Amino acid sequence: MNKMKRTGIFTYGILIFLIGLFIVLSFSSPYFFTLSNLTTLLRQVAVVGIITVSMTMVILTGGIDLSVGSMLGLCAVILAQLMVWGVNMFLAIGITLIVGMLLGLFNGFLINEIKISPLISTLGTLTIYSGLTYIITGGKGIFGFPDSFSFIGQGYLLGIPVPIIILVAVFAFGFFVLNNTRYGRYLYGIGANEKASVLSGVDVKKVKYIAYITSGLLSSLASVVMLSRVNSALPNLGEGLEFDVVTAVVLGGISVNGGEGRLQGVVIGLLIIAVLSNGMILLGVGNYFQTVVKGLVLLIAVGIDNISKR
Amino acid sequence: MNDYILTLENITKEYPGVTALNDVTISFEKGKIHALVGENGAGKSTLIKLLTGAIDKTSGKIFYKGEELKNNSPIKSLDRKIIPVYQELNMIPTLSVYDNIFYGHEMTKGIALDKKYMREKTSELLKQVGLKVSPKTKARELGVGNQQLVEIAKALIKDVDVLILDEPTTSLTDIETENLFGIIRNLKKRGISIIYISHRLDEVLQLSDTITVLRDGEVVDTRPSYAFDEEHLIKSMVGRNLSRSTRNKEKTVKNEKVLELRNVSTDQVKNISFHLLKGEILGIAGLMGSGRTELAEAIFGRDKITSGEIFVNGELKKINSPKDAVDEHMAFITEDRKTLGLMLDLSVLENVTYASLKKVTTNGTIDKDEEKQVVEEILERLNVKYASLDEKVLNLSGGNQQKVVIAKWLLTNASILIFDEPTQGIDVGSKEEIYGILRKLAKEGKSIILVSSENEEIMNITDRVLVMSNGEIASEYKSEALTADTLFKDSARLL
Repeated sequence: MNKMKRTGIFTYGILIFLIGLFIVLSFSSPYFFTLSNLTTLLRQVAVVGIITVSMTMVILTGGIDLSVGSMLGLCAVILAQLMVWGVNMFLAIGITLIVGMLLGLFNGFLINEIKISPLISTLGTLTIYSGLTYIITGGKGIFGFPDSFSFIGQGYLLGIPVPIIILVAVFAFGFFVLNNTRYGRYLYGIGANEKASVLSGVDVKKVKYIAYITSGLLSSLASVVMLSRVNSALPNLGEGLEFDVVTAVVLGGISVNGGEGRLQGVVIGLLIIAVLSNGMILLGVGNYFQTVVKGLVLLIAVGIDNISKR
Repeated sequence: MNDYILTLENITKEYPGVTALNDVTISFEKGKIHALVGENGAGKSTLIKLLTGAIDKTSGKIFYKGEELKNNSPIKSLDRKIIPVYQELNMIPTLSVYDNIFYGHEMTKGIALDKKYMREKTSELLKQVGLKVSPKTKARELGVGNQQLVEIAKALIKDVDVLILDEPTTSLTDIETENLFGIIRNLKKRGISIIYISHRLDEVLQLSDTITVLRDGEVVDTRPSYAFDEEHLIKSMVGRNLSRSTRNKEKTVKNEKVLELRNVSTDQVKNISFHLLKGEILGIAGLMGSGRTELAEAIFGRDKITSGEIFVNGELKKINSPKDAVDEHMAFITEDRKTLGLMLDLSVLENVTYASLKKVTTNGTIDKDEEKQVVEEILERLNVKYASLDEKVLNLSGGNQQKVVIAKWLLTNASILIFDEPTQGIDVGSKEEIYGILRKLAKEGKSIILVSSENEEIMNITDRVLVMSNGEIASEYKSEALTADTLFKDSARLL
């Protein structure tokens, strides 16, 4: 009972933090609380947001995927290169998504079969995938895509920006998987007690494979959105992205030990990241200082979580 | 003053629902070897924990060197030179022997470790225990026997007045045991008092000066060893004939083999052959470390089978993982429910359906109403007390937690259920309920393997019993033909 309440208070706490942030920023900047700014804010956070869903799945099993930013970067340059070569846009996107899944599969392989810890496995692949990105691009940007491609990142459907629609769809998928499927239950179960899960006849390896493959898939989906928005594939496109993703998930109350936390919380965590970045830009906070603030927010969130657990 | 170094007077230790020690009075003579014997659960471990300050007594007095011992704690106990050497080894495998021996009280020269001193001192200690290895050897490179000797060497580094040895020979070969006895006798000559706990009665008779027999938390006999012989000792330990009043009279066994092992070996068990019939409760008895749990793990695919065959319903099956076992309709209610059976941080509901989610899902989607209904039904059937289905399992009592594990497996429709110490650490009332559940399951045609260290449980609940000793099946009995002393003798037979 105690622990359940704790998670509750934690989610509640960050909700208050988010509202506080909203109020402070609304008073500090006349531009903050405008429809156009809020829409921009959501659109900006779509890329990170898509990946938070799979990161939540991975962290619930007690793992982590640090390679998401690199997977996004690599997928973006592959997609860019394919389109520049004249491959049909839809086919190119399809191939990119498959590549993303294969990158995730490789992470799963290292973790499940070679038994390298998720932290080290994905730290290794972070570097490998990022290196491949630079090899493909030769360190330069790739651009010149079909006009229709920009619709995904910049277009509107029924007046709503397409990236936001994709983000909402991915979250809806995440809610369904985590709350209503057998697979979702196993994600929690493995994080809560992996040994007991094995003894219960759960195919733990398979569950983990799917989590890391989903991580690759959603990273590559995010790369499509990202590339369409910025319209040129720079090799450093996804660099450091894993930080925002992990921060949003942990802020949202997903326990880094696995097994605990709800996706509702991650929505709030994600919004805090979004509002914080947006607000700091509006207030003219320098780039370097922004980085410091983000780091502090992550540590404070985890700190509160740990202290409340005692 | 008398020459007793340590005296327990009217010691009682109660746990909720259980009296572990009842009015125990024992005097330990200085410079003598005093053995404690008794069956599993007789109170030996509790007694050691009291002496070393790991737990506190409920009532009574302990005198040490003529003074009353108050507010004992493990650290104070070490300061008083009462040093325990436990049956479980506490080596850090990656560290060297000398690092292990000095772990926690390293010698330093300035701020640096004085490795030279520690190595020399370790050599000296190793010589005392007759162990010929370099102090630099990594602990993991030593066999268990040698690790046991290092543990004893570790105890000797401090000035010892009372040395407590808990089953020190369990993992030793005959030669190592003889060697250890020599060392123990030498320690005795140096005036060290030794409390020696062992299941091996021949050892106890050979080594000790005095023997105290414990049974059900009470001292039933204390005499000089020469006044005992093995028969007499067993009789005192086992005591009254076990009551058979609760014995299962109803025969539910059908002559249909649901499980058969032929010459199955793993790294832990050797050459296991037996069968399990439909509707039968088969007991697996034996001492701690005899391979009971390991046998269960082998059947359930947790341990790699190196040779032999397993047949389920007459068909040869490869069971390489718990998943394979579950697919063959097996269930494993583990001894250690907290780390292996339950997800303590998840809800009652989530725990109960965890192994049988397929039943309440269509295309991977859980039907939550149906799930809730199924869970409520089974929990009611097992009479589980809980506040809400969303409550964390962590908050339930031991007995109810155990029933949640049972509920989880019953939902899988398993037909072969392996129970490993199902009544460990739960109160008497819940125990009876669990026995009732086992019988009911057998009556419904399920087959049960019951691994237990409680003799009464084994003899009363089961239809047939296998006694394990040192990783092998030592003997097999119809339960009604089994007596407590044969059970005891056979348990030690292959040691």
